[in-house]
Amino acid sequence: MDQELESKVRERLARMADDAGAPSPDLRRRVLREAADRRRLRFVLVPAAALATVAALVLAALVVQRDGNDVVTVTPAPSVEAGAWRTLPEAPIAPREEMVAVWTGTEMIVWGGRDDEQDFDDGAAFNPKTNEWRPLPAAPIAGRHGAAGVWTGDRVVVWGGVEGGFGNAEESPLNDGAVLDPKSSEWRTLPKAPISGGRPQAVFASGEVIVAAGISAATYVIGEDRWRPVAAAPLRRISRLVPSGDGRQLLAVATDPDASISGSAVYDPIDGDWTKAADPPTPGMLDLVAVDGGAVIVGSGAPGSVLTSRWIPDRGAWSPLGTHALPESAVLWVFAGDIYGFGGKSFVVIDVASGAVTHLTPPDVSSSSHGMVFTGEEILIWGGAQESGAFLDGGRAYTPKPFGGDTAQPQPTTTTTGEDEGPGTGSENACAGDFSGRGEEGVRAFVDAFYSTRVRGATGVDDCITQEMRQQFPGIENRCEVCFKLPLLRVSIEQADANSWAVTVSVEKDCDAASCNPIRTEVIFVGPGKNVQGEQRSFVVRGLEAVSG
Amino acid sequence: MTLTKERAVYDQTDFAAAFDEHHRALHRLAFLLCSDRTRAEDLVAEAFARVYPRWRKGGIEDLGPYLRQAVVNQARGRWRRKALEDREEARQTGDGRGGRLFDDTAVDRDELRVALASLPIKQRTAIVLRYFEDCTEAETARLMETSVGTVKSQVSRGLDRLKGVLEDGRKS
Repeated sequence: MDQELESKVRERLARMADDAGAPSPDLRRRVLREAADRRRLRFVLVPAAALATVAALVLAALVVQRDGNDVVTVTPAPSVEAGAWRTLPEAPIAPREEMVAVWTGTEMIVWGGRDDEQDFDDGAAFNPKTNEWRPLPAAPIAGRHGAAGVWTGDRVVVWGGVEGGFGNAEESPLNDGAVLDPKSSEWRTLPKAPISGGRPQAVFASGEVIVAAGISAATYVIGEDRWRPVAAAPLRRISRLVPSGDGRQLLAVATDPDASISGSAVYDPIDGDWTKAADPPTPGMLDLVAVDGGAVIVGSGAPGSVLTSRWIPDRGAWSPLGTHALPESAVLWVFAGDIYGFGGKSFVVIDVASGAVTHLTPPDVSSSSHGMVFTGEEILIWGGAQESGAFLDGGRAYTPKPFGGDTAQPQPTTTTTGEDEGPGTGSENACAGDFSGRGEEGVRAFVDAFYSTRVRGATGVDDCITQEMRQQFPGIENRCEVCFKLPLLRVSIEQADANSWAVTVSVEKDCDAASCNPIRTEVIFVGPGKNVQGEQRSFVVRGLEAVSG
Repeated sequence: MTLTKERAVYDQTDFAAAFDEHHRALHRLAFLLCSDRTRAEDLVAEAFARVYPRWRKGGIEDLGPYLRQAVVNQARGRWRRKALEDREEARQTGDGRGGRLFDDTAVDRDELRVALASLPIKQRTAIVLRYFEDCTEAETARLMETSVGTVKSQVSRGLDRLKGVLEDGRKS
């Protein structure tokens, strides 16, 4: 190191620091006032903060330990109404995109990523229950973006990725990785892998981590801390890799540089064999997500829309789902059998059974290339790039509504459910609460969640809960019988014109078996897609309103 | 001072004394990290606020390093926002910017300041901690929550970028 240069830097820094001048007198008052405020805290009640559409957000601190003269407080996550977003607290790391985001069961681990000037080698963990971040120790590998991250049940495995690529520079693939133990916050490096780097895919299946990058793939045998090569796939490359079927197999799809799909194949980790599968019917591929019993591929469609097709493992075939209004940059996630898509200003849920799309209340920020995990209760989104190009300095959490409904559709102007007029039995109240106590909105949520299933089998639809609904939502009949006499649910369908159908859903609530509050909810589907005769059409919800029965 | 069952509860007088002892040095460090006096004060205030709960419980034997760590952490988080703000300001016409930006001062001509401000935050932080705070590489790594190897590379790259500026200054 140039000692003269170092000396010069020291000297100039000291002179620069002198230019800082004296802090203002107000700083002392400010700091001491803040300290005094904090000292008064025993029980903390943070004022509610309104989000875009809903929800009081209450933050309460619980006294959990009393030790000497001090009270240790733990702050639980704010409770947010289903269908609403809350803002995550500030993370201890800089905003970024293309980072690894993994859910461990208790924390969202965020690591790596890039902004427009540097790759990051730091990370942090967010616990949604305590609503707190904690910084992670430095990883023993270089900063990078586009790395693969996977949760093994007790460790986070990070592998591959690229570094650089700023300005006119080329990105350089990285062929190393590391393992993080979130409990001890200790990292260790992975042994050298027999695969090339780049932006890899990683899946945890059959107790092993399978990593695929480009044309090569390998299995990391956790217990033995070694890599085992995977046989060459019958594909030109492995662009996406997800669990398939019961999770014992993996589905790989290849995409060519021109965004055309060049094939798919199934890998059995036990046998170590690949089986060539049919080409997906969806042109191009933007994403591939695992859903119950299969997978859904998302391809590019007309501007502002995507096309989806479903992989059916038993048949080894693909089935088109439909066209959905969603930016190509959307990140998809699966919850309770539905696919949630978030990108730009759009936030939608796609019904896997029918392909129908429901637009949900988007967060108050737009983002892409963000980290996104599902905790079992919330969808957490952090970081990413906004449309302006700026990086999102923060995160949001969304609490899905029961059965997938949301408030994005116009609110009905007439409420006839009589939620407040019922006999008020304990069981009914409990059930009303179960249905979010939202009156008309609760009905709409129900209809939103299930109309597709019912419309598909709509010939003489006057039965109640289908077997498919029971399988998808165990116990639904028990939860709904008190609130809604489902046998009274009616669906009628009228074809308005060659491309439109009017679907009327009637729900009657039997309050005390003597009087009912009928609700008629009108749903109109338009546009090309799959109709009740099985022709290939998809439904787009244009309007949903309720009128007094 | 160690944690005991009968841990002391520190009062405001103690904290005021701690503030008086540390705030000037922290303000200088914060200023070098963000180049703005007002923001530097914000960083210092937030650092004291972050450290206070633990200090009050007697969990901190030497407050200085904790406060320094807090300033570095705060600077790291705020740097990104400042970069965005600066880009936005650069896009605007006229001079609607507020605050007491360091650029407004006579020292605006200091090439090192400009060069330092142009460094990525990691390089800048590493340079400031190594050559202003006189931290060792290990201390710098701990404060930046990164590895010693990263500190070395960040310092090296940072010095490379500053070298030209300083050599030019030496010639003139």
